[in-house]
Amino acid sequence: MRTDPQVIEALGTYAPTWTDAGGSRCLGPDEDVTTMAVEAARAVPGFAASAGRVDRVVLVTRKPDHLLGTVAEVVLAALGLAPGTPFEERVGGAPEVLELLASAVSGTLVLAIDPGAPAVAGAALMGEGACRVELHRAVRHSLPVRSRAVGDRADLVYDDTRLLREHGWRRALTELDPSGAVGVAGIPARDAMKLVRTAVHVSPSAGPASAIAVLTDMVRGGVDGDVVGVENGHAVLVSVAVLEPASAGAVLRDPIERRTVRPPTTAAAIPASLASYERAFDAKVGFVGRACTNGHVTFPPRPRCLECHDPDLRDVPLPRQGRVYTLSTVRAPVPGKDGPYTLAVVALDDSHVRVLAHVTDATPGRQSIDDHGALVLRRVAVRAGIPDYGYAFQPDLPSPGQSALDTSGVT
Amino acid sequence: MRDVAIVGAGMIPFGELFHLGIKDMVSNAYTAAKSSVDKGLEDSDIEALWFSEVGSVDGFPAGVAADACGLIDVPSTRVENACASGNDAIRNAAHAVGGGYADVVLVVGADKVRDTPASATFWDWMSTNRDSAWDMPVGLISPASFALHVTRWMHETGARREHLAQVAVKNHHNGARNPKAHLRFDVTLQQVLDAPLVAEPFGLLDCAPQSDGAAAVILASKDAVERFTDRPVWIRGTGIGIDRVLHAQKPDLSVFGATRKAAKRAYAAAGIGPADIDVAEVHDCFTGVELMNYEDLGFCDRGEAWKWIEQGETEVGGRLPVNASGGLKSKGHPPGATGVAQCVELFEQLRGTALNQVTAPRYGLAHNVGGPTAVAAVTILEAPYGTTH
Repeated sequence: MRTDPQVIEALGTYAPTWTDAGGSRCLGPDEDVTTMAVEAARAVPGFAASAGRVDRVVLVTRKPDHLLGTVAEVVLAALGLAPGTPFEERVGGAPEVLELLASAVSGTLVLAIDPGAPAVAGAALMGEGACRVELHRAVRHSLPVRSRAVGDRADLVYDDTRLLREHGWRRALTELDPSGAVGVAGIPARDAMKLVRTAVHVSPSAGPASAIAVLTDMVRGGVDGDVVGVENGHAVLVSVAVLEPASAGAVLRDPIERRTVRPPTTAAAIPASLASYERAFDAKVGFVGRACTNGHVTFPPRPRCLECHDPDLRDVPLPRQGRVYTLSTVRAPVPGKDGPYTLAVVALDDSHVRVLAHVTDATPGRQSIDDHGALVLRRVAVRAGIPDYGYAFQPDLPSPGQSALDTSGVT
Repeated sequence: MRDVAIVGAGMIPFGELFHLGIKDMVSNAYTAAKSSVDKGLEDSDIEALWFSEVGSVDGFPAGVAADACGLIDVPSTRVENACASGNDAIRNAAHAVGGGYADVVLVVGADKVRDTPASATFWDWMSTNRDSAWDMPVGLISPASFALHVTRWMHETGARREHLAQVAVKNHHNGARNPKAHLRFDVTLQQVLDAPLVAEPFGLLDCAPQSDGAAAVILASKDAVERFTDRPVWIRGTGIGIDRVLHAQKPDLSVFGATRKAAKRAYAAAGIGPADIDVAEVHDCFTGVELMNYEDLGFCDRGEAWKWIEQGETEVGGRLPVNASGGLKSKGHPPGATGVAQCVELFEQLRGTALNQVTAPRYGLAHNVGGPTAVAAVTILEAPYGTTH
């Protein structure tokens, strides 16, 4: 059942800064499937320049946050893709992603998210460049050792791990006969390396993103070879031929252990006006200001220029780096907000525009005026049950020579 | 424009007043103001009413106030300008009297902050002065909103948390002697520094309490004054200032632009400058804001406020006593009432009848700053004729 091999132009992975008590990467208080998808795409080398060629998006996860919501609108706006771009949300695992990467045509952006734990997201843009993926064989047996019904909060795990390992994974792998597979996706790393002796490229997570994580690893290392993707009784074998190692990127900041001071209060606490939300959406999620005919840039958008009151305005993208002008850390409990949290007014680089944003991916209260950082998409709040996305200030990591590891992150 | 004077002023004690509704508070404040009028005042003397209320418990504010005071046969208008509501109500009333539209009017300020449960009202109160799409989601609570200014100001002037704490010590000491104050206890510098942090750099004792309360003043035109008193306190200048409503769009967060504009207008109307002010009630919703006020109101030069508090210049007995009443910090802060209550204190100070009396003041200044730190009001009052400095 061979298919015509497809080429991935570039790919990348993103893992959150935060870790749980066991050291596994986990979502930050302002992250979800949507924000991870955006970060994964931004991890793809050259994405900003290539974004214009995306004409289809497929987002794959086993743990969607919403079955009905606004994931597509947020991801498209945050990545600067045309709002009309066809966007498919799929439920699937590592084997599905490998099949997708072997069959999706040029211009498709594949996003795969494992919200954790461990949490990782991957993105692959189909085109010319990084590697060629060819599908060889697939096998299926119905063995739902791990399952989840819609509405359940956690996976249901059939209490026989040997059944899964021997009659599920090992049988499927034997039938696939992946002699010499160097990559295994969908099986936790330790088990993967025991089951497939030749496996070198594995992933800490076991969901759809693990497939992209394994491929990213191989491409960065310039390693050709076979890759298997496995989930319950389903397994897929592809071969990967690396073309350009520089076309794969991985975003991984120094870890901070996430320790919650107090549990978040009810998300319904903050009222929302959906009309107000919608009016602000394009500017807020696209991070777009308005420039007047005299060249002044205003953000958030206003009917008249802030400087000269000129009403003739056009949209302009804003710089995504800046410096803290002032800040304050809120330590009192605020209904509906995870705390403590730090708010900063950030002066954007090479611009007169300042933005008000919360600090992300860093321990609150440790920042200072003049700290430099980036503006990244995060879920700023949940209001009346509806997630509200915007930009947060992510401080630059200290340069080598300064203390790099902040291992006591109280959130 | 005719001269306008305050001929009566009174307030109820501020606090957590679960036993009093808005109508009770308004009526009691009016009674207190009436009883302070030297030659007496009848309800029939009042020709119009202005009511400063930021919330609207029990609904339609203008009617609630008129009805509670038994003044439903005269015009009644509700003024809302965030924390500047009280002084703005006085400004509007003074313009009406000065412009000849009425001779004797009543201004009442009141707010019931404690009528609804704390968390339910949290976002309701915030939404009265926050942008729904840009401020609310990030959780820009009031202490954080002011802290963004104070942090930048501290960075530029070298002030430290100890200077902020000294404001709390001073104002609590003043308020401990004030039977109308909400928090009547002294605090030490260390207690203020050790209090749990609310929004850095403010700890719990750097923040004014949530209070219910009401205050009232009675204004009269120059010709009508002698019916009521031989010792009127003159309204010499009023001013309102407005700033950008989003913090990221204010050009300089180390000042309150609204305060500077309001002060400039009030000083110009009064024909005096900051050096002429002998006693002041300024907006200390948070301790650091009082220090910024010293500079924005021109009491001291830019960057000198921390020296002023260190040297005790604003103590009663100092160069320019500030918040002899205890300020918002100790006296309390029902937003609609605060500006009016400041003028009640100044009325007493300028007539020499205040409890925490400043020595023979001639000019007094009341100041508020609020909203998304986008509005300020200043009122300048002068002591009765014949009072020397």
